[in-house]
Amino acid sequence: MLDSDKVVQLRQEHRNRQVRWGFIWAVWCAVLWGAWYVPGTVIYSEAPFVDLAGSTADYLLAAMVITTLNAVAVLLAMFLWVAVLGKTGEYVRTMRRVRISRWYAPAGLAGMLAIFGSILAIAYVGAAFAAVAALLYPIVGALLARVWYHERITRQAAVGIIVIITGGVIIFAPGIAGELAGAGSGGLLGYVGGALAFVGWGIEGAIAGRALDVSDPDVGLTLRFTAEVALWLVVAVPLTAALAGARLWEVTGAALANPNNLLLLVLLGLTFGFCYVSWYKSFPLIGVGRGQAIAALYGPLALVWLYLFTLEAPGLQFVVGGLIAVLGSFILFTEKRDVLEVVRAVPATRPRAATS
Amino acid sequence: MHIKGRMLQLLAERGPMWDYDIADEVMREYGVSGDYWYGTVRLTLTDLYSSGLLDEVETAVDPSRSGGVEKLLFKFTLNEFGRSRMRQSGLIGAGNG
Repeated sequence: MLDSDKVVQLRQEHRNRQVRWGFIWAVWCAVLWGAWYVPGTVIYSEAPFVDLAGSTADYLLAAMVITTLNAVAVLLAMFLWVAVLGKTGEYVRTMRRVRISRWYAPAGLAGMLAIFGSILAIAYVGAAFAAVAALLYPIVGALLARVWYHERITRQAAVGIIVIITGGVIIFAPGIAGELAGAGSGGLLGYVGGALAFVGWGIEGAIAGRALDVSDPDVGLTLRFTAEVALWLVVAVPLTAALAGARLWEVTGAALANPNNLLLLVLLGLTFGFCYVSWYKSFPLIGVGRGQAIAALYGPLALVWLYLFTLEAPGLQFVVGGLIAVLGSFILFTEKRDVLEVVRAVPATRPRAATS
Repeated sequence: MHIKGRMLQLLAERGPMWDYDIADEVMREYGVSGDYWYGTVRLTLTDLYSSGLLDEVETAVDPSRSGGVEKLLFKFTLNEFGRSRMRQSGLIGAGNG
């Protein structure tokens, strides 16, 4: 028999570690997600995409080719990751459990639309707009997770989520106002893309949270990107080929023939792949609502990354909004640990554990 | 069967189990060994617990079972929610969805 104080202390340390890692993964996701906007923006100044700005059809074609290549790059990064972890066998075994793996198909579809929407929004309106539009996604994710599988969203968590989003909106509001004024009549598709981004990622998170109950996050994410690549190859590519004809192959060929694009694809695959892995790893530990809200810090971080690479100084609203977003994440992080210990309000009663 | 599914099945078949017993069994069945896989199993248990599929029934401290370090060992049991998620995902019995 052991001193029960010791057990209490060890239990507390264990749960703190669990929650802390949930937040660490979510913050990593935010850092890498923010970084993704750099290659995501730069690729538009490379041939052949730089010349695809003449018409709506050109924009859509460029976004489609970039998103497809991005998905393939992420999947390759994930295959490497899963192999390093020694989980390649797990990938095959999990895929064979169709009643589990099939959930990653709708998650992949929702995520695919979100990424396509973001790429479109970057091209049509600008990277800053694309980043802030997606900031609204934790509202969708948290709401779905609550309604669908009773994830606990406490008052404090709800306040934290709203504060983070407010910070994000303040950061980008002046830019968006300018872009709205300057975008002209062709901007509409960019705003549709922005809406796709936050609805898509919100839905994806909620579905993934469900599938992750019974499968491993590293493997689950790889399955999700397998589904996305399959959707592109089986549905989107033939559809685009029917609409755009030979132009699709010309653009894809030209994209892959430019070595700068290959480097950018490696960067896209690594940043987005590991951002996504961290996102999926945080969900079981702190819940979809909190994981998504902390990951929404990618907004301010995207501006930091874009600043580092373009040396265009962000304005005052960046400092103010960034501080508010960080405050919101602290509101989430300081939530009582016993609330976070089990992120769902499950129907059964949960007896306190006995001590031996 | 994938490891997380197999861990749920072990808990469904054998009732409450200590984390080190689950780890030993999983490592034996999958032919893996070492701290990495032991840690992976414990991490998976933590994530099943925080997702609400498992309940804690007992804890202990036994450095001889955790590499000489004082770590909390857990005995987990599958709860009704875990069972229903297993049915829904075809890991036990029949069910929909």
